[in-house]
Amino acid sequence: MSDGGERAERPFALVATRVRVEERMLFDAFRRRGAACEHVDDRSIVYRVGGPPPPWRAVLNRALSAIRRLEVSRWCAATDTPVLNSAVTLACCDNKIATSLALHRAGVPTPDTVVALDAAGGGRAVAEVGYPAVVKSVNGSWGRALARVGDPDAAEAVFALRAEMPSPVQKLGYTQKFLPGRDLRVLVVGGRAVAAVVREADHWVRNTARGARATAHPLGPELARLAERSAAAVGGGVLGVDLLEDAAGDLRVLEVNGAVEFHGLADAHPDLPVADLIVDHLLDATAGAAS
Amino acid sequence: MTVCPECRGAVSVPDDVMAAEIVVCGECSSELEVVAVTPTVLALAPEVEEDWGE
Ligand SMILES: Nc1ncnc2c1ncn2[C@@H]1O[C@H](COP(=O)(O)OP(=O)(O)OP(=O)(O)O)[C@@H](O)[C@H]1O
Ligand SMILES: [Mg+2]
Ligand SMILES: [Zn+2]
Repeated sequence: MSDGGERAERPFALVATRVRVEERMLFDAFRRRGAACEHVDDRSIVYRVGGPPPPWRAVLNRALSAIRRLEVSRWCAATDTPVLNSAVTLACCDNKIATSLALHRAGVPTPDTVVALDAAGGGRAVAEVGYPAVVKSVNGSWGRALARVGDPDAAEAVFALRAEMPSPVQKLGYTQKFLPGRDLRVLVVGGRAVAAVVREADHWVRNTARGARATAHPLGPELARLAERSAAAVGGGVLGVDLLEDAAGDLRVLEVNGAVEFHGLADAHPDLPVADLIVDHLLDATAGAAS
Repeated sequence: MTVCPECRGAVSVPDDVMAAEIVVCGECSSELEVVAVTPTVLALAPEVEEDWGE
């Protein structure tokens, strides 16, 4: 296989299904550093096992499909191509069960969570966490397919529908105690928490993908430390840690996003060069891998 | 101006548009994916799939 010297001549790749605000910001940051970076649509990748390695110096993996982005990072790992995020991190973040288990193992506080391996056990899982409960898709994102369940009838209805869904993933039951409180997101880049936002909406689901407003939130040492521990627990990289803060200020981590969207956070922190921090982290990781 | 594949209306696309960006047709509100640049070619953007997201 090719050596590091040859690899240093190659461009970086930003693998992305869509060029959104974030990807544009990242391309600009590569340009500011004089680092050539090409856009690669993950849907266009075809490669031979044992064939030439990816023709890129390093990869920033922002594919939208969780299945495809894992494959992108897996290919990179197998060919010693530096990639953010790693396949290990993505496998953990793109499955809410894996995330919860990893966070718990690292001693990170999370809402009470009960898992059922089939929709038939969903009612039992909800009864165990108590009402109101939240039922989520194990592979859900952007606030999709989230239900707040107030009583056993509602739980039965949610899991009756899930049992009929063709996708086996949707038959899994991921249930959690519903907790009132503020919704926070912390961006972690390479082990360091860099900024936080609070997300507000009229609905209890406060994803910016569903129209929630993000405003700057102070990144105190406790919040920063918890976000950094959460990021480390899932394998590290460029990560968005979602947390709930109750009235007493106690924090619980909801999930860690492995393909983090940061336009809301960047708008809320206009002086923070978010994309530059991410690109610098990739350049550092690449320099480390080459030496 | 580029033609909307859904309604044949005229869609205005920024000069520096990149492949894989999404533009919205002002006439029919379809979400359109830029599948090629110079010249710009638009296609109906695929639906969000089950495993898409952060
Ligand atoms: N246990 C809970 N108690 C109260 N609110 C919750 C709870 N779980 C989720 N929420 C609300 O729903 C939102 C989405 O939840 P979560 O982050 O788990 O799902 P997601 O769809 O995977 O989001 P993302 O786009 O970040 O991947 C949270 O940001 C929060 O506002
Ligand atoms: Mg979330
Ligand atoms: Zn149209």
